[in-house]
Amino acid sequence: MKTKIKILRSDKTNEVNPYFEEYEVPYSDGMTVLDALRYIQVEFDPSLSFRWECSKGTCGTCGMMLDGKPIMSCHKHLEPNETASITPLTRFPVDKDLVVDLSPSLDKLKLAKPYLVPGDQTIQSKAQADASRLLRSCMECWLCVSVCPMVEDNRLNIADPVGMVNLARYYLDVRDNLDRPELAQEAGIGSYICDKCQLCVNVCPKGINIPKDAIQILLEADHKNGS
Amino acid sequence: MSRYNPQRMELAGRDEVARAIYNEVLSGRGTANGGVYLDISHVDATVIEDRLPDMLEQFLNVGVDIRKTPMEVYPSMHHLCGGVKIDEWGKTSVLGLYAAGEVTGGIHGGNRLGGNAIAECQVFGRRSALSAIDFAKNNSKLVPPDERDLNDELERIAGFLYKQNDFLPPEEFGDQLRDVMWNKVGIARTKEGMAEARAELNRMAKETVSLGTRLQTLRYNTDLVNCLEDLNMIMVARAIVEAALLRQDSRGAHYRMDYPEPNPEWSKFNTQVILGADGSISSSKIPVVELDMSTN
Repeated sequence: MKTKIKILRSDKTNEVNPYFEEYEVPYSDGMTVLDALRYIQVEFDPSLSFRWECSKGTCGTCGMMLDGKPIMSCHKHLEPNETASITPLTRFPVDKDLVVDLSPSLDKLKLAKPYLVPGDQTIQSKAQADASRLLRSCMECWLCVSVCPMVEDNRLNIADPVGMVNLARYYLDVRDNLDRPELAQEAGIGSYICDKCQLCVNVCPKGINIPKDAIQILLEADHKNGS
Repeated sequence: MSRYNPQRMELAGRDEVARAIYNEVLSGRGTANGGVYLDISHVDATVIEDRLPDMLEQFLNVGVDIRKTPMEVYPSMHHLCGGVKIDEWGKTSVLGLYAAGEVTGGIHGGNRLGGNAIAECQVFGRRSALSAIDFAKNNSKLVPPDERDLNDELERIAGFLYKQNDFLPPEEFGDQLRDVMWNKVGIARTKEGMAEARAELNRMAKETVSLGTRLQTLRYNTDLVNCLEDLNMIMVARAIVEAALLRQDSRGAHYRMDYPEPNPEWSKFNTQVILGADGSISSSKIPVVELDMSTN
């Protein structure tokens, strides 16, 4: 059995404009998009570039689009006798083939100071830790950013979805010593505007409901501060 | 596990359970896929959801609900015990080079306790960082590296490109290397198997000059990355075989069929391997440091 996969190729550095290239690979039950990509790279085309790491859905490295929907290539199973259309993650500048430039999102994430700023309390109970547990499972796969309609509007003073998750995650961590809502205000990401389109909810591989689990928390924090 | 350790069963040491699984499959009692079943469905579903969320998710993604059905498992290479020799502050035998984590040796002994890999990274990560800061502070006069050394290194890397004639594909080379190590320096070791491995690895080490890449770029060249990794893997593999051959007893994950029991004499020694810049390799026994726990 075989299956077809067409991939959007391009190379920014060498000024190669985007074009689709189609490959036919042997199909085996349970094979993933990543399996196909690696097969192509080893057997047909060493110039095909894509990111991957753990190959088991825990690291967030292999995000890309399949038929216009964002997926983790290591987790998405292919069907036999179909043509899967693979393109790089949307809303990110493309470096080469399926490798995107993450710096716009990474630069924005830095504004949220995505690390613990410790204070006096260095140990937390399990119950305290559980408050941030779901948000902590965010692996920064960027699938939410790729579908969020608010991300491209630079007039809005917002963090993108991953930034919101981080702000909420540290806000809920009793060990964190930074006033996260204040930090967000000062860094120009203090508006928690959300279109409520639920697109991010549909794509998060970890089941994080960003509007409910993160944005709502931040809005409530703002409300407490009287803003 | 009742056949292997009826008292501790599945909670026997990792090395024992791994060997038991290996043996069951080898004896023809494995599943159709060559594994054994691990069943935790008797555990409360909420406990599984709370304690093993990643495992639950991983198996659900392939259609197996571990809250209800067994998983199929088989031992694999999970963690490397042994590695770069350090002191308690991460200092290596190379001046100014510090190391921490799985790349180092001497922390776990023959068997690593579950959870200690993370603990190791945190404790020794911090310690080695403090060491490095200290070194940098006290050695503020920096000397730039020799131009020739830099050029040699760049040439070494670029040397994998532009191979005119038939070259060795690095992916295949890596697969061969993995096969040798798994089959002959794996779960159940023998003198003959390891001696064969040593000879094969020596041969493969010489072959690395023939490794090459299909693309002639330094950017996004997976073949090039594999070539460089192959070089490093061969080095580590040769060190592992030397140490395993030298150590004539079994201890934790190091299990030899020709010396299947731990030898009290060997409990006083570690094995040390020296890799020469010329590719030479030598091994020796070094005494374990005895700690006087009463004064701590």
